[in-house]
Parts: sequence; C-alpha cells; structure tokens
Amino acid sequence: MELSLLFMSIVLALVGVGISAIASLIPGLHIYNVIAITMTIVFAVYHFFSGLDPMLLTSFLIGLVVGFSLLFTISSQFFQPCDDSYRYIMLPHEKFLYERRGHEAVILGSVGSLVAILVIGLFFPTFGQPVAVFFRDLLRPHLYWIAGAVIVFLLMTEWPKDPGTAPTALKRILDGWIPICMGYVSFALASLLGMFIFYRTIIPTDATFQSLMPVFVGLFAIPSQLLTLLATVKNPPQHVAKSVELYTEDVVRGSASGLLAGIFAGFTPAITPGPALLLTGHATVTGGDRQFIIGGGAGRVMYYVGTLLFFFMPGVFLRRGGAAINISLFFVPETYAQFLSIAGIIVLTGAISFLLVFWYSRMAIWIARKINYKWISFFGMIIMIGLVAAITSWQGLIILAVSTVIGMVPNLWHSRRINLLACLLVPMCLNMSGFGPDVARWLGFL
Amino acid sequence: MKGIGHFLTGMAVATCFPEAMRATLEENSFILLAGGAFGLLPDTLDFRICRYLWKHEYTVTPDLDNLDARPIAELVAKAVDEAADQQKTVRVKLHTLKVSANYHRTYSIRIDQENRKVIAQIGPLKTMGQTMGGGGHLPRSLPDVPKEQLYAEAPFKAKMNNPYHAKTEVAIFSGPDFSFVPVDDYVRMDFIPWHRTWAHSPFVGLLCGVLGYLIYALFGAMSGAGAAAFTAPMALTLFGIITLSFWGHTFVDQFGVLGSVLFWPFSDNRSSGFKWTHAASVLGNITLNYCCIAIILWNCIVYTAEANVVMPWAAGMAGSYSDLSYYLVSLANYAAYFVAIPLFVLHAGSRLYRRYIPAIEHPELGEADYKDGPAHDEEALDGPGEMGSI
Repeated sequence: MELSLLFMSIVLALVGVGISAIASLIPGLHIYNVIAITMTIVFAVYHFFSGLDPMLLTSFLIGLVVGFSLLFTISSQFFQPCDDSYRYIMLPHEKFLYERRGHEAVILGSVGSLVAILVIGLFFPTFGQPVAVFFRDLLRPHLYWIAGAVIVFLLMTEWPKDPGTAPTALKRILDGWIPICMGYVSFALASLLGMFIFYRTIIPTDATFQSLMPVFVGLFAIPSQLLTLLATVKNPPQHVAKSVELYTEDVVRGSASGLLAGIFAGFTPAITPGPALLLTGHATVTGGDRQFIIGGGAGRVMYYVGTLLFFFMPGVFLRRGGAAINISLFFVPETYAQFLSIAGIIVLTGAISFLLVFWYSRMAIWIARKINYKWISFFGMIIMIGLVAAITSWQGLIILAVSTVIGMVPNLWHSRRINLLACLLVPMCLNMSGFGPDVARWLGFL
Repeated sequence: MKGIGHFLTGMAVATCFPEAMRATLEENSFILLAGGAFGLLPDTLDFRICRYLWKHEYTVTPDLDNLDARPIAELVAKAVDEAADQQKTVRVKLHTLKVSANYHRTYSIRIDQENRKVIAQIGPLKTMGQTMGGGGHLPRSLPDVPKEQLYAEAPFKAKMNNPYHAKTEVAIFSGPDFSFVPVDDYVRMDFIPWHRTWAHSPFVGLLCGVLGYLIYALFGAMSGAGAAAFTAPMALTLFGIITLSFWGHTFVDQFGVLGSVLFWPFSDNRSSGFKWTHAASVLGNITLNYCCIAIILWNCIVYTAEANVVMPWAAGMAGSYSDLSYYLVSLANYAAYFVAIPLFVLHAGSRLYRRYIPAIEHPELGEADYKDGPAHDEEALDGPGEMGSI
C-alpha cells in the first residue's frame, strides 16, 4: 500500500472520529444511523467518489465506528438521568450519575474499551486469523440453534422481581408474573415486527439497506428519550475525580466478560452486545458495579470494532454488523497489507478516542450543567425522527411509531428490554434454520 | 450454580446424543434446545411457581423508620422454640427493605446453635449490585438507628441443627425464608425450603422425559408415521435429552452447600450438598461453564464433518472420529490441551492472586474478613438476583 494512501486513510479515519464525537452528543443516536446517512450521501454523489480509492471511505467509516464505540455512551451517561418511578433496578452507570461520579463511570467504561482495543490490536493480527477461521468453519452449521439457545435462555431467565411482601399468594403471583408476561408480550410483538420487516417491509426499495433503522430507533432510542422527557429528577452536579478506584480483579473480570460477549456477538448473527453481555456476565460471574461498567465498555468495542476487523481478516471475511455490511457494498478486502493497515488505524483511532474521552466527558458535564437534559432529549428525538423520515420516508415513520409503542412496554412494566431484540433474533434464527419462509407464509407476510 | 451453568449443562448433555447432532446438522432440528430448557427448568419452576405456594407462620418486616434488631432476633428465636415445643414445622419469611430503585437496607441473622441464640444485626445500605453504597440519591432521608438497636441477641431453648451457613444476609429482591423442622430431639433449619424440592427431584425429570416422548411420538403418529413414531430414534432421543438434562441440573446442584430432595414423592427430605463449591462461586461457575462449552464444542468438532478438525495427536492416524481409537486419541488430546491445561492455569492463577494480591489492593481488609465472605455471598445471591443467580 502506498504511503500517501495510508496517510490519507489515517487522516480520514481521524475525521471519522471527529464526526463521531459530534454525533455522539445526541443520546440514542446509533453509529449505524450515522453510517446510513454517510452511505446515503455517498450513493447520492457517487460520481464524486468513484475515482477515489475505496480504502479512504473505509478508513473514514472505521474512524466513525471506533470513535463512536468509545464515545456514544457518554451522552446517555449525563443527558439521560433515570427516574426511579420508571425503573425497578437502577443500572450501575445511572447510580454513578446520582452519586456525582458520572465521570468515574465514563472512565471505567473507557478502561474496558481500551483493553478491547489492545486485544484487537495485539491478538487479532497475530493469532486471530487461524482461530477465527476455525470457529467460523466449525460453528457455521450450528449458528441457528445457538441463536435459538439464546432465545430460550432469555425467555426462561427473567425471574420475578417482586419483593414477596404482598398479603396474599395471588397478589404475590401477580406482582411477580405481570412483568414476566409483559416481557413475553414485548418479545412476541417484537418478533412479529421483525418477521414483517424481513418479509414484507414497506420501506422504499432504495432504502431497504436501512430497513432496520426505524425499528431500532423506535424500540430503543425514542422510548428512552420519552422517559427522559417525562422524568422529574434533578441532574446532580458532577465531580471530576482525579483518580479512579479500580482493582486489577475488576479490570480482568470485567474485561473478560465484555471481550467474550463481543466475540460471541460478533460470531453469531442476530446477537448484539446486550444479550451477549447478559450471558457472559452470568457465565463469568461478574460482580459489582465496576466490573459491569468495564464489561460494557469492552463488549461494545469488541463487538463494533473487533467484529468489523474480522471482515478484513484474510481468509475470514466475516461480514457481521451494520458497518461491515455497508463497507462490503463498495469495498472488497484483498490483501494482508490492507488488513494490517486497518488494524493499525483501529489501534491509532482507538488510542486517540480513549484520550478524547477525558475531555469529552468534561464537556458533556459542562453541557449537562448549562442545558436542561429534557431539551437535549427533545432535540435528540427530533433529530432521530428527522433522520428516519429522511432515509426511510413516511413508511419508515409508520414503522417507527409501531416500534415505539412496543418499545415502551418493557419500560412501563419493568420487564427486560432485551426481549425487544426478538425483532432481530427470531427472524434470523428462523431464517438460518430454513423455517423462516414457512413461518412468514403462515403469518401472511409471504 | 447460576442459571447459565444449568442451561449449558443441559445443552452439553443434548450434544452427546448422536441422533440429536445428526438431526441438527441434517434437518436443522431444534432438538438441542430441549437440553437447555430442561436443564434450567427446575429453577424456573422453583422461582416462578413454587416460592409463591409457600405459607409462612411468621414474617419479619422491620420498620424502616424505626429499625431495631431485637424484634427480628426474638421472632426467629420464638419460631425455633415453637417448632420444638409443638413438634410442628414453623416457617419464617424475612422481608427485604427496599429504600429506592437502587438501595436496600440490609440486615442479617446468625443462628448460633452452640450457644442457642439468634443474633440479628442491622446492616448497611446495599445496591442492587450487592455492593455497599453511601446512599446517594435516596428519595428521602433515613433516620439514624440508635446504636443499641443495631445488634440484638435472643436465646432459644431447643437443640438446633443448621446444615446451611450460620449467617444469612437479607439484602435485595425477595428476602430469604426458613423452615424450622422438628426432627427427633432437635430442630433442623432449612434455608429457602421451597427451593430444590419436588421440582429438582429425579422423578420429575423422568416424568418430563416421558411426557416429552409421548407428545413427540403422538405428533409423529398423527402426522402419518403411525405406531412407528413410538420407536422412532428422535422420540427416544428426546426422552433421553429431557430426562438427563433435568438430572444434570440435580447432579450439578449436589456440589454446593444446599442439596436437593432426591427421593420425592417418597420423601420430602432435602439432602445436604457435597459443599465443594457454592452457588455464587466465581471459580465453581466458570469451571462448570467452561467444561460444558468444551463438551459442546467437542461434539461439534466430532459431528461437523465439513469443519474437518484434526487434533495434533491424531494427525498421523488413519480414519475419522467414527473409529474408536481415533476418537479416543483425539479426545485425550482435546481434554489435555483445551480443558485440563486452561483450567489448571485458571485455578492456579486464581489461588496465587488470592494469596498475594488482596493484601496489596485491599489493605483495609484483613484475613478474617475473607473467611466468611463466600458464604455471605451465596446466601445473598442464592435467590434470583440481579444476574439471575441460583
């Protein structure tokens, strides 16, 4: 690879990090939404890019993904305080916010992210290829039942969260079972929606590469924004600590859980970091808030970035996740030099993004102090809806509205939000097993 | 063990059935999932159904605004003596004290069976992640508890046998409960007595297997296979998977402190576990999960012909996994390289870490603080905690 091309690739990757930093300020906005906009622009002015080496646009998108995977949770950390009345359990990073330790939570997550960047940079180019080829070939015919196993596990392990204090057995059963049943309802509705999107989507054909966008925005982003708008809590002022309380054991156990989750999600279609972290958190018995937050940071980076690197790995070319799918539309990786260059760009942008976190977190604290979080969520929601409308037209807005209603169910009944991932898990599992078209026909979608 | 350990045990059991692996690879069958589902089923039955069907003679609900350890200790002591005096089982439920979405006020009871007294202690605020917290973002201010109300002892007269841990912390979600059961001249204390009872018995596992077999065979018969459906390999395989996955759950549970009711419906007595590990043990859970995943991967290697995995020790041998000698050599190689060595490294590394690192990283904690640590963790996490531990 020419030095000038490599240099330009690095510059564009850094530009990608910069743009991801701006986009990350909008809580709920996903990197794949930003990639969708980028791809829409690229396709609209294709003639302009046609003379350029595809490595340049690839590097730009990689910069976006790396920067985003390290930065995008910071806005949620500070701009989306959780209201007790909508939650049964407060997640560790939400608790840190109320203890004025939001910055500490950000740094802890970033430590996990940095570990993931190091593992990706050190192990993927050295031992990654044979291991990835081995697991890809071994697991290929088994992926459908692995996805099915995840579904069974998710459905069977939502335990009753009632305190058991109601006076009668019937009342106690209702206390315990209503959230579980509503979890099943949201699972079923999300599954139906997923099957509809996969088999009879109403998204215009020129935007079908983003047909899942309104679904995910509706299921996850908009309900969070709505709850933030309804919240009555005060966002406490934050303390920017000069040091972080952190033990080796927390880093090792938290990172191990996160890295496993990222790898598992990366290898298994339809599995995202959320359910993967749930599984590996159980499997490795993570304990305490720090390990949870570190695991989240490591898992996100391993999933978004590590999985993306599998696409460039010679002999592997595993296309998982929205970024790889979009890049594959215009770039076919061919050489080992390209793989190493991409790995290097990931490490470089990862390290820069990690350093950026310290400043970025302070900036987010400053913004949270100056602007009411409700306004941030309100404008975030408007931007998200605008993006959906721009990319997927009014048909996308209809799907967005339906998804939002389904997405509110877990929030209102305190059931697991992970059930909503059925929109991806169920159709993918059925399709991989070959039963998808039969089920779609039975549902009247074919 | 945690739920995922039981789930993986069931999946590992299922992959050991050649017919199940054949159907998986050739017919895209979902039969393996039956292993996971029935491996997990005993705990699902317990935590989703059984715990609601239990009645309690006494419930402990401390007043958050006037916390006092004395009534807690006295009530538990009274229940012990009542069981002995009236020769009847007395059940006590200890309610948790939820303060906010994030915090619970904890308290603990300790049964000192030697000195025949119950010790109750008001504990710190703990988060849903089971870590002590400073009480940030509490919805209201909590009154200070007078020092004399933080700790109390209450004597009981009966001779006591507690096969479980002496100390139980009441922390998050639903609190623990106990049965005080009169046996001969003493009272036996059963921790969460509705857990690991009939729903963990091998008989129920067998029943599930038979039901699964009958349903599958009947469907087959109605689909045109006729009587042959009852002797079809898949029906028999399903019976085996369901039964053995269920039994696998019961078997794995025996390695902990709490055993299970093994001979229901003939006996309701819950056996004691081997006490090799405990439900929330990090190493215990990781070891089990790792072994199960290793078994699943091994069976994938053996049955997935297109993956064409050749173990180094078998590289010079002719044949395939269908040849016994080739299979055994490969298995020995796999077990040595990919199971024994990694687990040895994990356990040895963990021991070294526990021996040397805590002293550096946790200077405020002494040796004594670690002695009871795991036991407390298990009690607190033995319920369906945040991470679904069981």
